[in-house]
Amino acid sequence: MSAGGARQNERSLRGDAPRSSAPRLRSVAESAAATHDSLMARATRLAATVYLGAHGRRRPGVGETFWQYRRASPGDPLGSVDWRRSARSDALFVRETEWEAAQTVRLWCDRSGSMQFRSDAAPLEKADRGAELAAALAILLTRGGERTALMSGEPRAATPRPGIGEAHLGRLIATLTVDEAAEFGAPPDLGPARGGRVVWLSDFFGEEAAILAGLEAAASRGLSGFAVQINDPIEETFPFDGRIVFESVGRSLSYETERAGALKRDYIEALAARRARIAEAARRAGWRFMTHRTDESASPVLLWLARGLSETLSG
Amino acid sequence: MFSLGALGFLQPLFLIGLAALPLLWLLLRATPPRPKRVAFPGVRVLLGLDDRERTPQRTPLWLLLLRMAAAALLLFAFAEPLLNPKARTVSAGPLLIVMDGGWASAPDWSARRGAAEDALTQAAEQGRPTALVSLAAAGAPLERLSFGDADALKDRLSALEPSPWRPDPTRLMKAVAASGDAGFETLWLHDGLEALRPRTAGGESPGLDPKAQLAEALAAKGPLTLLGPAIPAKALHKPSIRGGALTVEVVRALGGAEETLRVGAFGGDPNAGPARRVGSAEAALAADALSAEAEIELPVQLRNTLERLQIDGARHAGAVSLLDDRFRRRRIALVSGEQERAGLPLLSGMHFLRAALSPHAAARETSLRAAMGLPEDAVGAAAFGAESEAAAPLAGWADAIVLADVGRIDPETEEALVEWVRKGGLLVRFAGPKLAALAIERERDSRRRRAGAHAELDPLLPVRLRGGGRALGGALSWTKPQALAAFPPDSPFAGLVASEEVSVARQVLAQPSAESTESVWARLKDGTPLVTARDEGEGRVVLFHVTAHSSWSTLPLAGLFADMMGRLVAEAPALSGAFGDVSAREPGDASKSKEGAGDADAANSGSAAAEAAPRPLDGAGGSSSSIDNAAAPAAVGSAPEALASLWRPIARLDGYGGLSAADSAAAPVPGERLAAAARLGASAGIAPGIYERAGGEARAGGRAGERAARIAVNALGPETALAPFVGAPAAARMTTLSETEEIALKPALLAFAVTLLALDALAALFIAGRLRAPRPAAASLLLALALSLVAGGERAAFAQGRAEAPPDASSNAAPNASSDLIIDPAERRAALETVIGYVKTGDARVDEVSMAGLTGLQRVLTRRTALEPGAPGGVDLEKDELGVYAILYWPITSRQRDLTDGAVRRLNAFMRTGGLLVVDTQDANRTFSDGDGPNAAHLRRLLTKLDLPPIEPASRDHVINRTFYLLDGAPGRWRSADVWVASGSSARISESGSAESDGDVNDGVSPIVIGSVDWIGAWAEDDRGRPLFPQGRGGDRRREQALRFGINLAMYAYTGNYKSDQVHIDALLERLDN
Repeated sequence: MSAGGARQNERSLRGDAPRSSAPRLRSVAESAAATHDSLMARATRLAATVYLGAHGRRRPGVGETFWQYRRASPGDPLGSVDWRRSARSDALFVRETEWEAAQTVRLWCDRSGSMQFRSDAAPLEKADRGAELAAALAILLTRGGERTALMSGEPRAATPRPGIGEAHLGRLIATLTVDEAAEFGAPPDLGPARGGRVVWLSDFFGEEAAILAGLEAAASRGLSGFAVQINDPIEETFPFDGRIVFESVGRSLSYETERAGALKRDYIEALAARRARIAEAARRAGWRFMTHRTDESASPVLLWLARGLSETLSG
Repeated sequence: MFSLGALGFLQPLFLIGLAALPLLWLLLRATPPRPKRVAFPGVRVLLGLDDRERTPQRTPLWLLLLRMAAAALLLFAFAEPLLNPKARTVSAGPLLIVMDGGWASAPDWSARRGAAEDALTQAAEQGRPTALVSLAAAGAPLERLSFGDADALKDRLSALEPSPWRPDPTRLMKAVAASGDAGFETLWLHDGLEALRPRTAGGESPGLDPKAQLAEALAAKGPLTLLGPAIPAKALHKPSIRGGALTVEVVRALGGAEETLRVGAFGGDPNAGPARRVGSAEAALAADALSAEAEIELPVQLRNTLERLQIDGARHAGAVSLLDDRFRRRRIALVSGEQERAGLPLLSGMHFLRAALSPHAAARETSLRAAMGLPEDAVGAAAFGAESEAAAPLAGWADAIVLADVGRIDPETEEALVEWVRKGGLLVRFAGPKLAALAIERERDSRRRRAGAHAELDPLLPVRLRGGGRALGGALSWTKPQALAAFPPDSPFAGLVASEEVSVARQVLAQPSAESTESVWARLKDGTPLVTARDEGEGRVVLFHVTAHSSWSTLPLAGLFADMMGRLVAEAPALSGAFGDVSAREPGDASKSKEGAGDADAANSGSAAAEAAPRPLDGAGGSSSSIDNAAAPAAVGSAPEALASLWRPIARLDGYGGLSAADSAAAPVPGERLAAAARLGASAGIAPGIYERAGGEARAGGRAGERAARIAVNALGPETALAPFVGAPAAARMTTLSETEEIALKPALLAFAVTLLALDALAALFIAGRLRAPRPAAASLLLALALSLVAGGERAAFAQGRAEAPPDASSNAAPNASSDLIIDPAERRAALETVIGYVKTGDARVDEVSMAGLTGLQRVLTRRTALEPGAPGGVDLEKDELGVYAILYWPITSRQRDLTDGAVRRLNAFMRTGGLLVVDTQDANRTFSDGDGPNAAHLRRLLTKLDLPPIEPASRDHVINRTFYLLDGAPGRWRSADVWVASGSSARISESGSAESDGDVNDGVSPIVIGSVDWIGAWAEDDRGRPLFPQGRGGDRRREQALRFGINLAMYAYTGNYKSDQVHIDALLERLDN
């Protein structure tokens, strides 16, 4: 665990319980650290399942790694001629390095109230699955030399600064364990960011308009990205019947029905329609959209994200 | 109070609330249970949905029903329903509780008493003055009612028992009339039967039922509640003997459903304890029939012992019919002196006698000698053959002997016959040619001896017979055959109609004599005696002056003859019956008793006889062939002398129908009252029972040794009937007395309602989804709570219901709990497996050796024999149960303390019941024979208290030396010495092969074996099976001998003398060789 992550963690903890006595603080911190460690471990394990092979931009550019020799063409600076190679033949060769410009990937893992939900059918909360995916992705990206930034769903959160390296990764992962107070997650403000990629991990049960607006804003800034809708199994199967009052996790929304069983078909259709609308908006914004259920394995999503990112980053 | 069948409501107004239930239904339907709340992030998706089922879901039907049931139960509970509600008095003034208290109240007496007690309790709570009157109480009619403290009456009530007679409402009439204007409320616990009242000759009851009159009078005074049984008691009526069977009517007051009752007959040898049930018959009451007959067929001998008939399962005096001597079927020996004329039965007197007697008695033809129990002479044997064989064991079996034309009787037989008569036998003789010849012969003899002197009176004839009879209406006579005159009133035939058809053509005549000892029972119109009788000793001789067949008169052809025979049979003493020592000496011997009718009786007979003169027998002459009950009053009533005499109860029934011996000091009853009671049934003061004429001591000049007649008085007389009580005034409240206890249903209903409500709460939780799987504990807690409420409620209900009942259950429970056997584990083990015991001497060292020795023996036994005992057990003689051991090994030490009495008793019982006590003095070879060793002296001291058989040294062939091994001696650690066993157990085998054991309890197995050589020391081994003690000379060989003796000892204890045939082995083998 990186020192920075721990610091951040402790800071937030202190903020939560400023008057806590030292032993209590310590125990909370330790349990939080354990959470962080376990997330780290899970994310590492998850990341290990995705092996991307040769990473890079697969084109010549500014970089340290040798990319190719090519015949010198007129206009090449003389200094770029690799004389040792050129000496073996009559032509002049220029040594090109691979383009290694680091891109920034902005991650948004929704940790709002609605994500902190787990039904009996699911092994873990949606937020946890999101954090797992985000952390694993961050690990992969860091390994790939990209810069990552974790965007906060909190309305007035400071725009995170993209960073690189293990220390940054540690901080990022520690932040992933912090729950948000909002009931539904809304796409974060992109700030001054231009370029790079965006990954959204959310159940997208917030205001649909806000989601669509977020996608539009991203598109307008030329940010393309990936949206993964993470759902609990029961959110897809709707296994209810009888007289039920459905409440959102924060109880701000409620819906009462006399016969929940009769709603099942309508609900599933409505959910599909909502997804279709979000997916359509994403497609128009140049985003890719995928759904994931928490009772399924996380690897395919991660693979999908990693492949997609490496394609778009190097493409 | 409002009642629905067996259900009553104290607060019926609450029931109106039931009308509101439909409202509740609608209300409940409209308010469904709380919905389940589910956290669901996808609510936003739902928000846009159009819910097609907007109408609120209805409360599920089952929940609705549950709630309705709970509400209805609550309402019912608050209406305070009572199951089998008791009568409740209504007003607040004085309360009069009237109880019928007769036998008809006995079946449900406890319910009656309970109802009265409840009324008393209520009255006491309300402070009402109360009076309690039993209509069946003996005593003078009440003059006035005295109301008093209700609590004080409870004692009287609890002492009140049903009387064995019918209640008399007139007892109270006067007091009610005298109570003036003062009103009072009455609770009358009646028995559902009309009061006993006299009936006119036509059988009609005149006037109103006295009960109805009393009810009217009471209703006029205030509210009247009549509490009666649903079904009045049934009774037995008119037992009679008809056609050889005992018949009894079962009567009921109200026609009802078809019903079959079983009537049991109780009797048996009176010397063999109380009467047993010897037979029974069913009486099938058809629907709406008021009576049915039960016919009980019993062998005569058995029937003669009958004491009573009783309806099975009925516990009241009316269900019992006591039988007196009249119900014994007499056994009559018929002896004929006539010539046998084969093929002409109508010329034989036997034929007529048989026909006339058979309905009334068991008549059997036999020879006179056989009837007397004398050995048969050759002629008789030839004549009666097997008959006499069969009769021989029944010497003296006949109650009466009928001699048809028997003339001369051989002296030996005559002597026996005279003796029999003098002992109380009834001898009935019929005249005939032989008797006439005898008379002539006798007359001639006496003339020859002394002219003018009368012939001596033949003890077997009531009169002196004149030589030669007379013939009437013959061809050469002017006289006509004579008809019968009316029977004299003191004759047993009194009441029979002297049929005009009877004519007598020939008869023997009595010699007129100055002293007339005979009585004439029947005369001809001209006054000539036709039937004469005379007491001889305690018996009686009766002579019919005509033949038993129809050649001298037409009497045997008339129906009258059979009736006369019936009466005669009733005259016959029950020589062989249950009351065998008391013959029913009927009051016919008026000539004797008249003079004895004492002055004492004359006084009370005078007026009473006038008012309650028993009806003369009517209809009996017409009744063809039965002794009906009319004979009972006849027995008393026909003889004025009997009416005047006093009768003493010897056994009486109580109200419940239990028969008990009467107090010897019981007041005698005048004859005429008894006669009335016998006809009409028991009445106040005359309990049903068996009455005996007070003997000679009561009547001055009474014949010494006269045996009194016995009359049975039953609860229901033959001339009364059971009629239902119907005359209740309109104002009276009629309530049915229920046997069942009042049960307040409120607690149970409330508990049930609460349970339902609890279930409802659970159901609501369940519907709202609050009842999650992890909460079964809470649910079960609730359920348990509900159940305990129910249980508690029911307990409360029962407690309430039983508050007045005696706490039988609880008082019984305690001893049961404490009597649970706490069995000592060691004793349990000894009882369950085979354990050899040793006596703990108190000396730890000795006990240890005993344990080790028996353990060694046990191992050897297990190894070598089929006997596999468990580990040996120590026994404390003072405390432990010895019965579970078969062998007790008792090492004697000088330090052993004397036995206490308890230990001695225990040891004695142990030896008596098959235990084997092995005593070892360990004195080496000094037992009793060669001077006592130190311990032997001690043993003497210890044994003095024991109940020991004589002992002797065991012989070489004693069974103990043969049971497993064939042994020559019994060495222990010491050299073999005498073993002492009970003498007589030494299996001296007789030729028959059985051990000669004179009266030994244990089949000749000695209960004790005494030795001195310390066997146990030889057997003793340590844990590893090594000998504990060094063996003296002989070494291991002797140890082996000792063990073998130990095995033999064990076998002896467990197999007894089974192996005693081993003693014979030599002889047996020898036999096999041959």
